[in-house]
Amino acid sequence: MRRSGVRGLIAGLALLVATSVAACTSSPAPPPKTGPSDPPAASAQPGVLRVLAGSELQDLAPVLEEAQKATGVTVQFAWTGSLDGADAVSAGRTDGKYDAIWFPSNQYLHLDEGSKSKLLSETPIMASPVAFGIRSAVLGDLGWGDGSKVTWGNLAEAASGGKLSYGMADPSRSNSGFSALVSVASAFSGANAALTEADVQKATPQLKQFFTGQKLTSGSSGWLAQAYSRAERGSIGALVNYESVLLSMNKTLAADQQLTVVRPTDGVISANYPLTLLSSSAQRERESFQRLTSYLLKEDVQKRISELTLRRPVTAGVAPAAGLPTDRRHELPFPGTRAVADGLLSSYQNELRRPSRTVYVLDTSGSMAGQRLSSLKSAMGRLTGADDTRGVRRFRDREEVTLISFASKVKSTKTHSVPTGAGAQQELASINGDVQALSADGGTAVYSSLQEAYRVIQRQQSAAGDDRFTSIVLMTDGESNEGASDKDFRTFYEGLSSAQKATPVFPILFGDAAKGQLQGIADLTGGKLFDGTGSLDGAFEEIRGYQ
Amino acid sequence: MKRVIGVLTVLLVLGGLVFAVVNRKPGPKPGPNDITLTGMVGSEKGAFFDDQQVKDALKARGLVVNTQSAGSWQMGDLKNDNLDFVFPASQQPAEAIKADHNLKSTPTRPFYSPLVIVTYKSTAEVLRQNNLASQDETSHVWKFSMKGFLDGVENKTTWQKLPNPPANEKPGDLVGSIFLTTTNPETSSSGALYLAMVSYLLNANQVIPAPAGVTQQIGEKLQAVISPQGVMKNSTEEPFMDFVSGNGRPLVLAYESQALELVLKKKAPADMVMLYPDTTVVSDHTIVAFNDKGQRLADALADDPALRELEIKYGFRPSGAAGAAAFAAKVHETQSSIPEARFAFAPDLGVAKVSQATVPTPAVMKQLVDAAKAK
Repeated sequence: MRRSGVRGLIAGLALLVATSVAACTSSPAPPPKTGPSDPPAASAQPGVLRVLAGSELQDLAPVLEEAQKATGVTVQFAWTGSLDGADAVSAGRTDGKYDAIWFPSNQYLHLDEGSKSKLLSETPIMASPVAFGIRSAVLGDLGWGDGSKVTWGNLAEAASGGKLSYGMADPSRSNSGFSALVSVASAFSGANAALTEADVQKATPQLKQFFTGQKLTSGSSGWLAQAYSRAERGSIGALVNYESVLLSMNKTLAADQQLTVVRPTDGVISANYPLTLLSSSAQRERESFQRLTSYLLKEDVQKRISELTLRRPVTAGVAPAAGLPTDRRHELPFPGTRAVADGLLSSYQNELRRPSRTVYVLDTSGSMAGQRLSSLKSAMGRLTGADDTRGVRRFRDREEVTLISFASKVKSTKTHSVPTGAGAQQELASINGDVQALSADGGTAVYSSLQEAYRVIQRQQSAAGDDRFTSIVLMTDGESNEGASDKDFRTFYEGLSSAQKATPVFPILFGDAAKGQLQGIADLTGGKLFDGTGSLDGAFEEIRGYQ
Repeated sequence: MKRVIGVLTVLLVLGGLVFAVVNRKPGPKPGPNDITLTGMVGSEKGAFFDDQQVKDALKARGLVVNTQSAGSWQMGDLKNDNLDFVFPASQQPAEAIKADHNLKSTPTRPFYSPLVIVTYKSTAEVLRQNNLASQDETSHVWKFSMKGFLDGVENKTTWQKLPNPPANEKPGDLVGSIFLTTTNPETSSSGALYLAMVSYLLNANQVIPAPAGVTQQIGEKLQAVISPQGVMKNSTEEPFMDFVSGNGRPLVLAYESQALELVLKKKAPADMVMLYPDTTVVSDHTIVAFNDKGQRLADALADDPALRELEIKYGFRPSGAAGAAAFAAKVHETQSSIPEARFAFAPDLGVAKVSQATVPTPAVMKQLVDAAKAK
């Protein structure tokens, strides 16, 4: 008994350490990877609290190490997005696998009637409003002074006039994106209280204008920050994120990329990071939870949290870290029903945001035959289904989807445009038809096929002359063994125009794929590598947040 | 690089392990004659049971108490295996749980606390200028006009529409509909008590005697005070902590104990003001013992002088004459040591002319909650 406790402690602590060296792969027990399908966490262990959490909380690692020493409670994290986490709780997928959840906000989760019996107690640990971080030069050009008097209306006007381009995380996944969407819809509808469906209708024209300025989307706030840093100087003027994230970014951003935090004067939505005990937890873990939350709310710990993360303390008598403004902002209500919340998200995906141009480069070489090809067909097929109330998966109205099937060379290129409204279903069925018709034979020419994808995009862009979120997904199960080499591709990419270079590649690791090659492609193009070895469905779904 | 990290990790793991084994705090160690109990308490009492002085005072009575926090109306729904007691923040969920478990014992109310509104000085001033709040000249106690507030809800008043002061002089955080931020009445006692209070006022200052008395008209008015809030939190600690963190909800319904605790600790936010609704409702913190162990705790909380002092430290009003006298003495002592009058507390609600609404039966409460949520 005692021995297993010690073993548990070692494993748990190793996990905690692993999170603080997340980029390295050699720690004895890497943190459990969590996609939308959230695989089971390790079974319950003494002194270990299994927590399904938002990846934003990685910045608390030093505090949690100190907490471990003070309380004997090790936090073992698995990461997922706020709204996916809410789904997991509601659907009972956290029962027995996690003891607690910890996301920026539980507001979306509270809209689900079923969640009431799943949550035992919720304790806010720290707070941060969702704000606009505006590059200082842009703020000056717009004549907004120190940014303390800016309204959502000012932001929309600047965006629709082409004077403000910004990045924002996908609201169907991320609490920061969703909070911004609710804030802006509240401001434009003139709603003085929680949004209704009529308010959303009323705000639609102004919302469309506002979202013409959104040039970056992301499934996670971490990648959004990276994309901002690597974007061509001046092309992205602002980021929507938590005040704490924006201020923390300034610690490493170059002088000309520094962000001024703007909390619009007509209201914001704040995250309060409730550490939440699940009612499925056992007595031993409930006691661990109690020890941990008491520790985290101590005055000295709250001060440390605020200084480390630039979030605001929630314990009375603790002053916020230096640099956090203390003038209050109206806190906007969060919609009171799931119908309003999901309706707003669905409008965002299918009507309000800029449409996407999405190119899939799919490996159908001989090695894909059998189970692998059926997994691919299933994962792609899920993106054409109708069962998706808040727009997490399915190809959106107005989206242009191109399927490039390749082996030794490109075998076929098929493009579909999903229309708005009633016709969408038929086009989605047609995409699925093309997916199900894929067959496997031949070698693997990864780089040549990617080059072809960039050329396809160039042709589509010049033919349509439009303005879309553009990205490439690359799915392969093997090493590139035919056609262009890594070096050839690098030369090809360097020769592209800056507009073309802005198209990222999101490779999916699958089967016997060469991880080094795929990581190299992601790094070169500003994309991100996804792991489809656990769940290919999960990887394809997660990437939707970046498209 | 890989190896370095690997070694580093192992070192950290070992270092942490040694430290953890040496430094890990022991749980409460029961003596040979002590009994250990586990119970579920409203979140507003979590800090009380966590306090080392409380643990020591309970230990002196031979009790080692483990608690978990939950919303008062959640306690009945949650799995209650191995619990010795539950301690919700009002009598109604306590009675409901007692009935569910076929218990014979009478639930005990060791202490209570009226509902108040926490706000900022600047907001209280705006309310005063529009006759929605007033401050007594001698006692300095602030009162909030529930009738004025409910009339405003009826007329869809917003902060912008209040005539005083002119728009450019109003505090920037006062935007939108005027409502009290409460908890979800389905899960939390303070949210449910709020409906009790509003329904009493809507029913011509009479408690609604039977579910049928919750008319459609009353239901619509309850919806009008609840729905502008959008999604609500599940327990009273959360909106109060949001307030403390500076989150811009200007009027937050809380227990007097939450505000008083901070004032006694001298930790209240610098610009906090407490308003008593002119008709309020009292939260009767009621403990339901499932067995003799639970009953021993209930008795200790009700009659132990040391525990009574600690209850006051957390802002609760102990039951009974001795409790009231101790509470009044403490409030008097604190207020005389605070130069500013903005924290004025009313030890005697009757003297302060704060009237109290009667809380209806659980059946009526359920009807009120359903009506407010348009179910």
